[in-house]
Amino acid sequence: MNRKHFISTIAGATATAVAGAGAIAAHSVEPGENSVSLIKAPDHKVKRGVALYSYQRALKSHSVTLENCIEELSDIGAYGIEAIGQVIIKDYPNPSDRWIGEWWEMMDKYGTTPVCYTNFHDQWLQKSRPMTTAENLEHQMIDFNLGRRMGFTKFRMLVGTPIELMEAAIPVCEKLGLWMGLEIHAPVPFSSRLIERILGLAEKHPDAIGLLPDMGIFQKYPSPSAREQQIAQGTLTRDIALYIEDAYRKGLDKAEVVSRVKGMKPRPGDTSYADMVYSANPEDPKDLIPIMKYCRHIHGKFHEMNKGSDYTDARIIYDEVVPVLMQYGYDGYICTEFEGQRFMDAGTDEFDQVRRQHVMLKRLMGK
Amino acid sequence: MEEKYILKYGFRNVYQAGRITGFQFKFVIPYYRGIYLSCLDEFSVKVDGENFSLNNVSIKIGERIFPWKEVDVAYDVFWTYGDPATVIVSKPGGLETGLHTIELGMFIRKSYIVWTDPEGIYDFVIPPLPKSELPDKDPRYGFQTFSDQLSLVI
Repeated sequence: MNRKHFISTIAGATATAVAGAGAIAAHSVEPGENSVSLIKAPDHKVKRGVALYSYQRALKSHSVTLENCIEELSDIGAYGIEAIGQVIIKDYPNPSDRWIGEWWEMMDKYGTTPVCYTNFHDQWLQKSRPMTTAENLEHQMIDFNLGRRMGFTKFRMLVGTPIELMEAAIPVCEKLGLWMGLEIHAPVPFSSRLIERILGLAEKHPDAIGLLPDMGIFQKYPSPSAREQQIAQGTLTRDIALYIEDAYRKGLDKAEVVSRVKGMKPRPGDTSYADMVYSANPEDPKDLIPIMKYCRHIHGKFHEMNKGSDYTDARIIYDEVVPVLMQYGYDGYICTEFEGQRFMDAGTDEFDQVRRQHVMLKRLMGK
Repeated sequence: MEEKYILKYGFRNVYQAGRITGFQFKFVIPYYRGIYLSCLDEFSVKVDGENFSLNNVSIKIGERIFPWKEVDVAYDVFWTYGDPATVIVSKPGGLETGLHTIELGMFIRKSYIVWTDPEGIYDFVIPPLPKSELPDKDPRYGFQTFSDQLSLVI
């Protein structure tokens, strides 16, 4: 089944309904005829937030505190928090009531809101066998309860979370008012049996289960930092690399580019660079439209913002995805996750990268 | 930007009843979250080229010390993200004052990842393999090694 066929069969009715509603609620920043003020609140429901994972190096080295990070979210107007319980909770899985109290004091002080709890389900706690579904559910309650104590109502379930567990957890979530979103993370294709299974459950239990797109699925371009590292290591030639990237952006045929590179006295790294650049296979942002009503959170993965005052993502087509979210009525947060630590050079800073992404998002979203 | 996991502080000989019974050093988790200690799946310690048997190795998390054979079943012990763990190695007489090369290896079991897939719904990722066929073939297996030179004073 190809992607179009899949979308039309699985969520066809939904697509029509959502697209219709979206047309009415279309994003507009133009002042209306009778507008007095030049400032008009943008007409969409997309909100900005940050996944604290973005600051993982700073948190790990204890060069900043959790409170420093929460204050920073407030300072950039990204009031929604996504967090990994197993990273930020002091004395996980048994934090003291005092620690939970301090968490709520920070929310009050900085005006932030707990939005999404990233859930690592440790089904292979034992070396010899995975947990049974009953054991899985019992173990899952640790995170559900921790998340609830901290005010999180949405749970990002990672690819690999057993389907049987998610199915078994639906009644619990309905009772407790929690929502589980299975992440759509590369290389999970939109058209897969996994997504199909979740959509089937989401249609019946939309308040308990759904999908949580990771913006990494819209990655289209190679990493400038990785390119510079390869050039510095002498495995890649700058002129050839830049030619390949430029040709790719212009939509030139790969065969033509490879043939031209052959005439440029390439090193082995140059030839494989063309393969790498052309291997990107981003999803189409419009494929979000039919599933949007089942998406209550978005994981704003990114690896690298362009340097200087450009404020554009070097790799992921946010400029194409965000307008679709605004126009088709996505109601929720995009929580930024900076994940480019491995490629950072000495001049890169996690806080600066997140700020750069939020300048971009604010410009795209109008708020 | 490379991250350091073996720490420059905390390296010393271990004294018991006036005798040096071994040495210790500290490291932080080479991972992006904390883990239940039972997920520390494999481990190796080599100092100045000498491999130490895991029978002589203990891991200290917080104030609790676990001989290696107890790590496997430490299902309820959580190694907090960013908090150093201490490796304690039995070696009567300990190490000499001066420079030592420490080589540390470990496999952290990715406990949330699909290792079995009876319904075949993860076939777009990688076909899960029986664990008996690990470690060579499965990309989910990743034994990491780190080395650094540390100065021991006492």
